[in-house]
Amino acid sequence: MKKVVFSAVALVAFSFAGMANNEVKEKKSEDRETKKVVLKENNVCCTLHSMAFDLAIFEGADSATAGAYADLVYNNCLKSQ
Amino acid sequence: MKLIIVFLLSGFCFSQTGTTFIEYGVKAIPKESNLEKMSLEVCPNLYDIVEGITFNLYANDTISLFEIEDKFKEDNSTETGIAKLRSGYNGEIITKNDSIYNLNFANYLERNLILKKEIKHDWNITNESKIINDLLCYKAILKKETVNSKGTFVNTIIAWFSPEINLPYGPLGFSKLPGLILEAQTKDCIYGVKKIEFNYKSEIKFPKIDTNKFLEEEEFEKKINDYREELKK
Repeated sequence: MKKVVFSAVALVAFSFAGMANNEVKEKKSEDRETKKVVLKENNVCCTLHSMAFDLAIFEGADSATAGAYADLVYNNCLKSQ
Repeated sequence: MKLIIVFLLSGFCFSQTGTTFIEYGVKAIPKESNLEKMSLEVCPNLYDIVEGITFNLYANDTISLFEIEDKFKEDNSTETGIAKLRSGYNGEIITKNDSIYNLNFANYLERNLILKKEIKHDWNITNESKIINDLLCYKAILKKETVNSKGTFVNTIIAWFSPEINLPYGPLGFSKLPGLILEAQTKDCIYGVKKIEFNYKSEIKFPKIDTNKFLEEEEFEKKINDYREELKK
């Protein structure tokens, strides 16, 4: 289960064909729906930020290092949108 | 990893008047962990990228600066970012008196933050020795503690230092040994000297430490936790 979860983290965070992109393709034209999808995309990146941070901390990183890993994941997720 | 040490001597002994320049190479130690798996999925040639990075140490009697080579400083690619962290590097490190100052490690939070840590290097110097490129080096062991929200993690650092070079510094802020660290092994990687240049001719401007922007570790913890909460909103 853990392997699937963390593979999903890498896939979504760093793949240009990740979940965020698929959600971009599925954007509706209506403003309300568009807003929901945008929020969803940002939540994905925020979730990945949090997961990467927690993973690094779990493996013994200090907060500065964990924050740096999380920031990498977050920015890459945003780029893939 | 083949290490080449080139000496440019101005005298008959390794006297250090002025600044000494030391170039380090690094090699990742493969490991089994989820963070490693994630990193390798993102960057399959991670170990090669790590091995291609050079780090520079500038040191004199009172201060040292450890930083990545210039060409990687402004490289914001994900692959290089992961390689830097995998090397244990997260921003420049100044070692001065009994403190370590970490710079440019959290620009996503605030630019020019400086994290101050006290040096708690309680080295156990052994009698074990080896020659590293014609220099007699002794082995020293450090049990380095990292405290985070999950607990205390103890990592063993093995350093080989040369008393013949009277500079108590090394890579990643490791210091307070009676000689320059020529080789240092953490759980993640091995650093090795590639080049040493005494009385380094180029002018080195050690970054000015702005006392108004010091953070102790606890303050940084709070800052990053606040940032994470903001992201969740």
